[in-house]
Amino acid sequence: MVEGRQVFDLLWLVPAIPLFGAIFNCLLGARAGNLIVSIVGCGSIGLAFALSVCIFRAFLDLPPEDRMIEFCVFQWIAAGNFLAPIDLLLDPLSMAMITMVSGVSFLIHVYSVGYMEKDKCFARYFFYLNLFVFFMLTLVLAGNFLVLYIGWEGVGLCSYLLISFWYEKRTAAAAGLKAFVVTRFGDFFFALGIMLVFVQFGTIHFHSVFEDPAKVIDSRMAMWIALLIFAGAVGKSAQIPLHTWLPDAMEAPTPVSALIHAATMVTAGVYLVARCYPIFELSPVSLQIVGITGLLTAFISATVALVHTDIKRILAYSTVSQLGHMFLALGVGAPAAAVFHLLTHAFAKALLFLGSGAVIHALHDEMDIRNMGGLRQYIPATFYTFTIGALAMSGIPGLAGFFSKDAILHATFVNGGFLMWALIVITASMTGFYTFRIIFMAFFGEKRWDVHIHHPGTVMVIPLVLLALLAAVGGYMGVPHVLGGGDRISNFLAPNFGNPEVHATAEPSNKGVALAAEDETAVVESEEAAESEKVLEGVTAETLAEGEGHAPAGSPEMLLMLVSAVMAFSGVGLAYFFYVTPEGREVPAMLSDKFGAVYNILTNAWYFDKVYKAVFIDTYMLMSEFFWKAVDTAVIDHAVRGVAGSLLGGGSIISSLQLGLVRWYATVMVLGAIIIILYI
Amino acid sequence: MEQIFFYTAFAIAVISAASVVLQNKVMYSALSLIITLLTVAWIYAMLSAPFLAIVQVILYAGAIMVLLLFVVMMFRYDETEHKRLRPDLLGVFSVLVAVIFAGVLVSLFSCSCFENAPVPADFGSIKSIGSVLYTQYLVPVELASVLLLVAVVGAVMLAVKR
Amino acid sequence: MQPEVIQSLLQIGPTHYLVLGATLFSLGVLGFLVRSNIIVLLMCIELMINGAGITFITFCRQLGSLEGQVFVLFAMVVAAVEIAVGLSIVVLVFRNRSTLDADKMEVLKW
Repeated sequence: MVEGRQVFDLLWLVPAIPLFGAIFNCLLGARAGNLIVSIVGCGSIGLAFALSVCIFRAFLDLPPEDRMIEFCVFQWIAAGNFLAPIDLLLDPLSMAMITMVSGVSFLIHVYSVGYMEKDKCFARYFFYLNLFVFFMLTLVLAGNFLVLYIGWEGVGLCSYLLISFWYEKRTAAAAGLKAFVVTRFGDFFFALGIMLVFVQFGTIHFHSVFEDPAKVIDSRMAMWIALLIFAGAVGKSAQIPLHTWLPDAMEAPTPVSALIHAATMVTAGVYLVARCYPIFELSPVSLQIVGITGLLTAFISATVALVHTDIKRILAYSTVSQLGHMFLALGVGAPAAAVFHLLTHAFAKALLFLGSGAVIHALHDEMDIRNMGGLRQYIPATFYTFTIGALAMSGIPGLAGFFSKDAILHATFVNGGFLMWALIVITASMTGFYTFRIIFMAFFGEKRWDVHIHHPGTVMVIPLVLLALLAAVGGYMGVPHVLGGGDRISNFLAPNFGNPEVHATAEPSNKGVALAAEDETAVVESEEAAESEKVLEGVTAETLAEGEGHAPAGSPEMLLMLVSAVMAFSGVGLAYFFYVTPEGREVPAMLSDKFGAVYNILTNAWYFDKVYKAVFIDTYMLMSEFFWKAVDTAVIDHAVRGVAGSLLGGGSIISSLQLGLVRWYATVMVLGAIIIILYI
Repeated sequence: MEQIFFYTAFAIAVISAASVVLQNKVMYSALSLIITLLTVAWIYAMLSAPFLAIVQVILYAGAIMVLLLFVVMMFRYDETEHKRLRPDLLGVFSVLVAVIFAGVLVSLFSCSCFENAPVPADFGSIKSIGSVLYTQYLVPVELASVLLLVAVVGAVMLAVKR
Repeated sequence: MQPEVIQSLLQIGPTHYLVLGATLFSLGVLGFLVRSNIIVLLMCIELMINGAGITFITFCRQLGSLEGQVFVLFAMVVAAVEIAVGLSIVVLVFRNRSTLDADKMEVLKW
């Protein structure tokens, strides 16, 4: 126990070590050579990971009610009653996050050593990457809003730097700029939200703000704060309507996409909403908005992913879609499920990205899946790991994604109603379709390329294998009760979100004040579930009776699981039919011909970019033109020249006083002395 | 007795100082200045500052004035002073300075609370000055020596022919 | 003349010395203003320093502290420095411009 406490004192080292790595790589990296850079780069993250695992073990030894550790590094700003210490907060949520972030980052760093070995800016790359990890860990460990905001902006910066990493490429530079500007749009609201929190609560400290927000603010104010914070999350996590930067961000090196745009940074928004959940709970409206945004995002981006041909963009849209799932989970009152999905998705998506990176690497920067095919024999390791990732992603039973997605589906069904559930189940099926579309098009069929294959090195394969392992078994931390599991993730996160069972149902019925007794909620839950179920499947009275009996949510949940699994399989099957079987080969082309309009909408990603260009950019251009010609040249230039001219004239008058005569100066001095004496 | 000494010194000092200002020839000005400085040393001695009086004679009337005279003698007579004093300038500036002087006098006499204060026995003795100088003012003394060194080097640097 | 005035003239006090200091200082200022020879200007500066020195010494005797004397000592040091550097500058100026007239040195004029 004592030893455990000591481990917690080392908490600040978790972000500090990557920072050290970043500084080293920044200052000395260019001279040190690739070997040292990669040792420092990976080693610092590895150390941070090891440390967070140690802390995690000590953390598990604590009784659940003690699992809230605050750690003040130093006092940063103290102005009046505005206190902003750099303090860290370790609770189950941030614990889970730092372990995931440092772990996945470590694997991706190792992978990057292989992926980037030929790049001439190797040190710069690792500098950015380490810096990113530092900011990300700061973000998740933050103990108050301001520190979180530092991390938040820091990861945004690193994301920008890394997207534009190959800055000679015009599209990469533009994509970085786009990501920066679009997320800044959300960050602005987030900053406003922080200010509002300070105005309302008089503090920005998480602990004191979330202690009992209902005492300080009413539901209306909570809604404003929640919506402002959510706007920030929307920007960072690429939700509709600010999602357009993420697909473009695929200009970044692939490991960066895996790290930042799949596993860590984009999930910061989810983390933020989960962190601020006590405020969201106060306002059912804001929760509904979160849920609906998530649902729409999940659905729309999944449809776009169906038709894209760029392997990384498919994955990007898939990421957006999965983030939508998480927000949906948050919106329907299942934050634990959201965090669970966040973790499993991080493993699976990082794996998929790294796998696609290996494919791209193998085919000499070929990203179009139409130009792949038959890769199964050439890069088998990549194929197997990629398939595991895809299975986990699509929610095939037994793998990580299944359990987390199922938790979300269940919560949606119970709290969100049938329509939302149906939409999300369809989305789940589409997930299966587009991930397996990649697999079937890239790894099966005839080869549609003729380059010398570039085999991934060991440093690239090992992270793939490890991530595949995680993606496969990661789900077992949250096996729900019905399947005989302990639902450990929910229990672990309970100090953050309260009892998951209570939340899941009490939320919509009594509007945020989760006070309903256990029994009551059980009945409510089973009734609601049973009712919806009747609509769906025409369930028999026995099931209803059974539901009201000892197992509160047993069979309906099982049934839901079955449905989602079937849907996932159907998606996979459809992909198989379309892209592998000979008779299905013609169907995609036929469909796109037949539904040309729909196909166009999808390939143009629902015209978001075009509309934005028309609405914002063109208007802005017009405005700029106006201000340039009418305001700048006409008014400001004249004003500036006028000021300069008058100064020049005045100066020439005054300069005539400068005779250059010592006597004159002395006289003036004496005159001044006389004036002073007379004054006295 | 004191009155005689003081008024004599006063008269010599003012006359020689005026002569510094009004003499047309630089050499005469310099010689008058020596007299003024010696008189000031006299005044210092009357004001129970014997050490300063000695230093005044050695440093000012001796070293500095020798330096000045040397430089004056380096230039030919017609080069040093080819411009007479202009009476109009003298009139205007006399008025100016008179105003200052009057102001000082007025402020001096408006608070005529100055009585002769009792002076300790060895006030201003070399021993007491030295003890103050080398304890309390040690750092300034050292800095002054550095300043002198810099001045020597600087003077040489400036005056040396290149 | 009234007896009090004679009395105060005969009774030598700090005021007398201060008047002497002020006179020397004023003469220095006057000289600085009316003369144009640089060497004389330097001499006038010496006059001013001495006037100020007398004032210092007077007050320091009046207040019974030695700080004033120390100050005058430092002033002498600085005056010596000033004369040394100043004269070498004068020599340099004369070498370059063949004049000692301060009124003719107006190249700094804008």
